Amino acid sequence: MRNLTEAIVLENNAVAKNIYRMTLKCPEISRSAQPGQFVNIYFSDRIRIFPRPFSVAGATDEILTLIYRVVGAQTHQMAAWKDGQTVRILGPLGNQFSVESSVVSHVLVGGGVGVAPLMFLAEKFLQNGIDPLFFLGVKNRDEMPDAKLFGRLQTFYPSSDDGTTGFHGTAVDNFLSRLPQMGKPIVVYACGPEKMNAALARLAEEYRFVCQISFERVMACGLGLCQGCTVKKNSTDAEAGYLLVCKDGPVFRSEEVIFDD
Amino acid sequence: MIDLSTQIGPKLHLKNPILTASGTFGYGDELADLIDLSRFGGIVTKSLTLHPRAGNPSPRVTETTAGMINSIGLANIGVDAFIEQKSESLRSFPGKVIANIAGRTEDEYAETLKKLESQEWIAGYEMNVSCPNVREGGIEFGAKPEILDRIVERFRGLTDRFLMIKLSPNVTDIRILAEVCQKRGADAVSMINTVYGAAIDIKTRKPLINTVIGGLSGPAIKPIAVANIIKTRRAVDIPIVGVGGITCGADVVEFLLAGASAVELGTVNFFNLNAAAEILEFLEEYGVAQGIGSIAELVGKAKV
Repeated sequence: MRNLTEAIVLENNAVAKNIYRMTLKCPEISRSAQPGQFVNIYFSDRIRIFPRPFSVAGATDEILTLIYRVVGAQTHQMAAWKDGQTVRILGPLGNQFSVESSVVSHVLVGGGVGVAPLMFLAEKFLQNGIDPLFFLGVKNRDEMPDAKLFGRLQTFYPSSDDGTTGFHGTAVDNFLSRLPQMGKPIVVYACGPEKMNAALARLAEEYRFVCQISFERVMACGLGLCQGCTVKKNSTDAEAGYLLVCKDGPVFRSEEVIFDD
Repeated sequence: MIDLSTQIGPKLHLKNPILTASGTFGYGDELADLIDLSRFGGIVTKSLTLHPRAGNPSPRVTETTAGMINSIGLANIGVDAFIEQKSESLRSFPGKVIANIAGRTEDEYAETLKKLESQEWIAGYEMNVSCPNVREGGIEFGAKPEILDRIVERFRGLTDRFLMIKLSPNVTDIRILAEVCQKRGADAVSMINTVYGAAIDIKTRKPLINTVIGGLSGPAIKPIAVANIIKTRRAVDIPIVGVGGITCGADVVEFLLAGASAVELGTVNFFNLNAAAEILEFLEEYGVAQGIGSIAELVGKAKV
């Protein structure tokens, strides 16, 4: 059940360079949000008009957690929000990661701020007594979120492109290096840059594991009204068309979509 | 209390002047869980075509200053699926449903309209002859007076229901096109469709819209809409439905004063789901403050 409501900022702190973690009092949304879903935040701005979509990074009965990167004017504004700030918010929106109990290795692969929905998913696994394998890649040490966030994970594998923290390489390289030791069947849950997602989709085909990817797109509405946030549908039918990231997604199985669009 | 009802020619009576703009509100039933749809005087559906359309490749939308550019390419489920899947929910909508129709050929428009004639709950049609984002069946029908003349005459022959033609601002003189619509028996014209727009990513040097040029909408185009309505109002007697960049009640009053008998809310639906409710509230307050009994008293009353 999605709701349009006012949330109140509780905490809003940098957890890495340009990456923030915000908690909001927002029971109307937090009670029903599931890993993979997102929320829209609305700004009273007639210059930059779109609401901004953010993956839910955690949810309890009362509290919604977001992890976001400061990339433009709106997120810059958000970074300055103090506790008590009211926020117009809509959610939960979109579909969710699907988890099957028959899976032996639950593998989370994140790139940069793609960590957000995976934090939520990891939390759900831990609540259910499952230890997921969590691979997180960043550009450099400054962009690696505070280690405290991952304190409860038994198996956290950080990496950086420049080798300044963790494994020297991408999250996909790191995952691939440990893939042979993983118990099967394997499911990968991913969120990161398009290149990372495409690489995982190729590996999923080659190594025959299921890969669920949370996509990011520019969205004008987040509700399926504008039909703007497409991803190409994988089908033998040449006229097959597109899926909407906001409504059909944001989570798709890698074989559902085509990356070259 | 101000009387919000408005008459758009002899065939369409609206309980209030707020309609949705095609392509910004889905097929009308998508937001039923979030907002009270009965606030709208009417719903204009997404453009319907004879066959389903997948639409254009990504990227389809980009944000620009006080607006956005889109190039969706008339993606829609097709008229048959529309009738099959949406008639039940739209039949119970307590306002008027206007079906927006597009096509690649004149025949496709005509066939689509004929199929919709079987649905008694459809109050009328808005003909999209002004989409800037498709190779065939877009603006070429709406930019040349002689072509528009022929197709409006044909549409008029196919239906006795309310018939409105949606016009583009991307023409030399919108008045000539509105005059053609009037001459051929259209009940109203709606204006404006989106304005040609483009944006370029300065890092990648690639266009931010797949078709390079798309349609600009949002607050940025409101003055363009108002100007076109003022011009057209002087040229024709048929009613005008105003659309383009409306975000609030004050905007609606401005459109009415310029000469619109009703308005369509478009891009604002993407960023303010309460826009219709806020507008109606504003109109009530404005009516009291200005001592106006009916919004019909405002239509075309700008001192221009």
